[in-house]
Amino acid sequence: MGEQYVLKVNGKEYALRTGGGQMLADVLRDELHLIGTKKGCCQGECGACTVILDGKAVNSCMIPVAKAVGADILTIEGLQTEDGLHPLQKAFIEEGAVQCGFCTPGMIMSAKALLDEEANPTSAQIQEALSGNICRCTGYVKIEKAVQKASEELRKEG
Amino acid sequence: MKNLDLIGKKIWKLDGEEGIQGQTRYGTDLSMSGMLYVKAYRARIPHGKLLRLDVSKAAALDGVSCVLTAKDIPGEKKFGFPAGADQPVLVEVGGTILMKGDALALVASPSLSVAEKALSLIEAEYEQYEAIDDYERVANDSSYFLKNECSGEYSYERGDLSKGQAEADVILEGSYEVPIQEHAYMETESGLSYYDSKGILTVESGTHDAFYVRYEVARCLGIDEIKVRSIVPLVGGTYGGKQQCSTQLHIALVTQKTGLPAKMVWSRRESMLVSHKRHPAKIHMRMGATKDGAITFLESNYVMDGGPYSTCSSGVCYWMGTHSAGPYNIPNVSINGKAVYTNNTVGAAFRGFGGPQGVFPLERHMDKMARELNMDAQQLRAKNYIREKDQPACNGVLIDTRVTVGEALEKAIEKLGPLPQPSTPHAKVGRGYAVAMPLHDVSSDPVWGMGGTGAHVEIFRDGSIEVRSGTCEFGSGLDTVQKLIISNEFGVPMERIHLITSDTYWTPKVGRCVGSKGAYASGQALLMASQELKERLATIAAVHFGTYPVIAPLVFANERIYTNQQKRDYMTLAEAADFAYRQGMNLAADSWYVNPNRLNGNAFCAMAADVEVDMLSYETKVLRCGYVHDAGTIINPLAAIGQAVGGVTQSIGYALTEKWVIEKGESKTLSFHDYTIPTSVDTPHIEVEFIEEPSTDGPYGAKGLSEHPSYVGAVAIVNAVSNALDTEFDVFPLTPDKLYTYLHG
Ligand code: FES
Ligand code: FES
Repeated sequence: MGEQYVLKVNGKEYALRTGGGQMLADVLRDELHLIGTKKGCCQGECGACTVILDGKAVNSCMIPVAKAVGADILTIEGLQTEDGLHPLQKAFIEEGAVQCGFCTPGMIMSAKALLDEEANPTSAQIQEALSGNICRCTGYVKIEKAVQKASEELRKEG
Repeated sequence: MKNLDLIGKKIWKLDGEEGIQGQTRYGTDLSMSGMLYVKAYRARIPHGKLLRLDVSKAAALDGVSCVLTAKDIPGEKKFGFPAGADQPVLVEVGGTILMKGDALALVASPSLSVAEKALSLIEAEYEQYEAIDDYERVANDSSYFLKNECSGEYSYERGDLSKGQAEADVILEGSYEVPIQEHAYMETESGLSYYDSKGILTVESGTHDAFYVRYEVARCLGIDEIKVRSIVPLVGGTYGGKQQCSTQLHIALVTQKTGLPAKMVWSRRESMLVSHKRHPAKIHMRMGATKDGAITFLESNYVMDGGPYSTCSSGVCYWMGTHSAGPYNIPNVSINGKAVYTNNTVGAAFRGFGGPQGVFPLERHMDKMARELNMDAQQLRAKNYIREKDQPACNGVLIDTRVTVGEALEKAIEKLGPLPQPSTPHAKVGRGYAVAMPLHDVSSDPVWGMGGTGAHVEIFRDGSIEVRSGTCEFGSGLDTVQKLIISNEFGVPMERIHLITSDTYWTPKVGRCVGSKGAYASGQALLMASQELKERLATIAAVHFGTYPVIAPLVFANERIYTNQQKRDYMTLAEAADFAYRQGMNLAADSWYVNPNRLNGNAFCAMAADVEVDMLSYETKVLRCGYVHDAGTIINPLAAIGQAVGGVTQSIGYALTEKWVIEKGESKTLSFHDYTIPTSVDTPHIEVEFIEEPSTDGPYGAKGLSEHPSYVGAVAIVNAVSNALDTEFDVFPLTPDKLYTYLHG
């Protein structure tokens, strides 16, 4: 049995034991059963596993879990509030930015990290922020539109 | 046409909400208690004999549940569709390895890391043979071959070539090469197998056809098909690539051996190594035309590389041939092609199924011919377009609607506006376009093992409706389309319709969901079943209204059956269903749809693109695209536009960045680092428009939709780069290094 450690995910604390050298994506999926975080490559190249770690979008397949201890981790499952879907989630559906949906959670987390930093991003900023997330289905056009729409929505909400 | 209350309106994708919360389960997300992880040990060479395979150390490792080799397969040891089972499930000792990555052994353990460790303990010894990797040579040199046969052949002749040559003022020859393309779906191949509570071996996996998986699993396990259940969960992309078995047979073997649930997920590297690709092809084309631009003949000879296993190479080879003369009326035509066996990657279905390979040389050649004739390229095309009732240069195709190809191209070009100025002094800009007449296989032709398409529609006593359809959803929005059709037919809101798909236990048989026929064939089957059930309910209503035996055309809307369009007198659907139930009537209707026409040649599309090439870095950027497509009646616009934009973007990658490197049967580009897929920063402004010329036999007049952008996308971009640099590019992808060598030798 490995050492005990605590992981803070979506505002909840989880006591876990290390299996040694595990990556954050695997712990989220296999131990916390937060399967919304996807794995498309495990090589840091597709962005499907994107989560927000202390405000920054990261590829959780490349983060040894030890590095995530003590950090605030946000996954797609933590985005929704009691009032319902996050404006990004709503916009993705309404704009038709989801096809197979496999890239969507990672895409939304990258977009969320951007909007947290830049409430009114330009098109170039959105493209740049999402450039680490591959979507093979949609062709990005609607994804960019959805992020724009969500940013408007969030600014309205203040 | 039916009352299109919902059809054509902007509708959310149905499974959007769960997916967006991270709740939907794809194959990769499935798990069960007591589950074993399965890993495959794969051949390290592309061609050779397996002399020895020692799995004893792996089997002895603590935590390993089982290690399986070919001799543990109780049933058929080979699989494959549709040409024949020629791919080994596991290569046996003494057997021949034909592809790097062929599976040799399986290990299973409750711990993934133990399974991985066990793989490293397996030892294999090979006698290595020369890799047969030059597919053009295989086609031309009878002493150089892997198997002494072809995996596909195509031949079409009409008119008289010598007559066409005599009539031509200009004869133009050209050689072209289209590359491999990797599907690169974001979810790699995955699956879970287990015995259900009734002892049925169940396999859940991403595929185009649950029934095909059931068939292969039963054969491999040596059991009756009734002992196998196959379910398709949500699939994280396929684009044609998940048609053959991947994980299914391996996990089923482990479950059969151990009695335990077994899961397998391919790594990205494994997926890129083993999965099937778009066939590469080499084409030699000759075309003649009169001075004023009438094409007098076309001769095309091509060879495709199908890799070592047949899969659907015969079909892809055929499809390439049928698209080689495009939407043009050419009197004298000779098209001959073949697909050959090599030790390279396996060629199989990929969005367009050989069509893009047929369109590329033709649409490049049309541009070159226009230059040769000193004629505008659009004008040259327009002069030769096929017209309604003309016979295209391939067999079995009907042109039974208005031909919209010219209109599509005009509109696509219009969308671009004027050609922009280069953004820097060292950049060049250019415009290119292409047209196509993608055929689609709506018939579910039994020769190709596709069968017909069934549907089951059942109304419950409370007026809610259950629909069972074998068609799979993998991102193209088919679930939504199917519910929309039922909602429209019965006047029942979407949330009161439950759709069960792709589960061999519950859903009627369908052919594979390929060839852009999902909405087409399932839609027709659903309409047929709905019609039958509605007639029964209408009889009840007629009795209720006192008009029986006269059943006037009743109106189904607002969960009611109205006597007429004025919608005054009505009976609720629930009342009618409940009454029918109490009368002992059947509340369910089943249908079976087979289209008598093999192929329909009535969908047309065109793409125009502006590109800018930086002459310092040799990088090409697509600035904007106009894509126009006659897809008949659009049932779900949101999904339709999504399919178009997604297809165009895949074509941008195909044309410019997706360079697959394979040397002597060894693929070198096994990651997204080495194989470059377009990302958000590479995406241009893409404008899409649909021409809705209804088909004569699709549901509500719909035609096929999702594959079509792939036919025209890449060649439009290569035409644009050729125009920008005033150089004819006859190969692609036009990566910076390729452009440089092309220009500077
Ligand atoms: S799974 Fe982490 S970047 Fe692809
Ligand atoms: S929606 Fe399929 S990969 Fe993005």
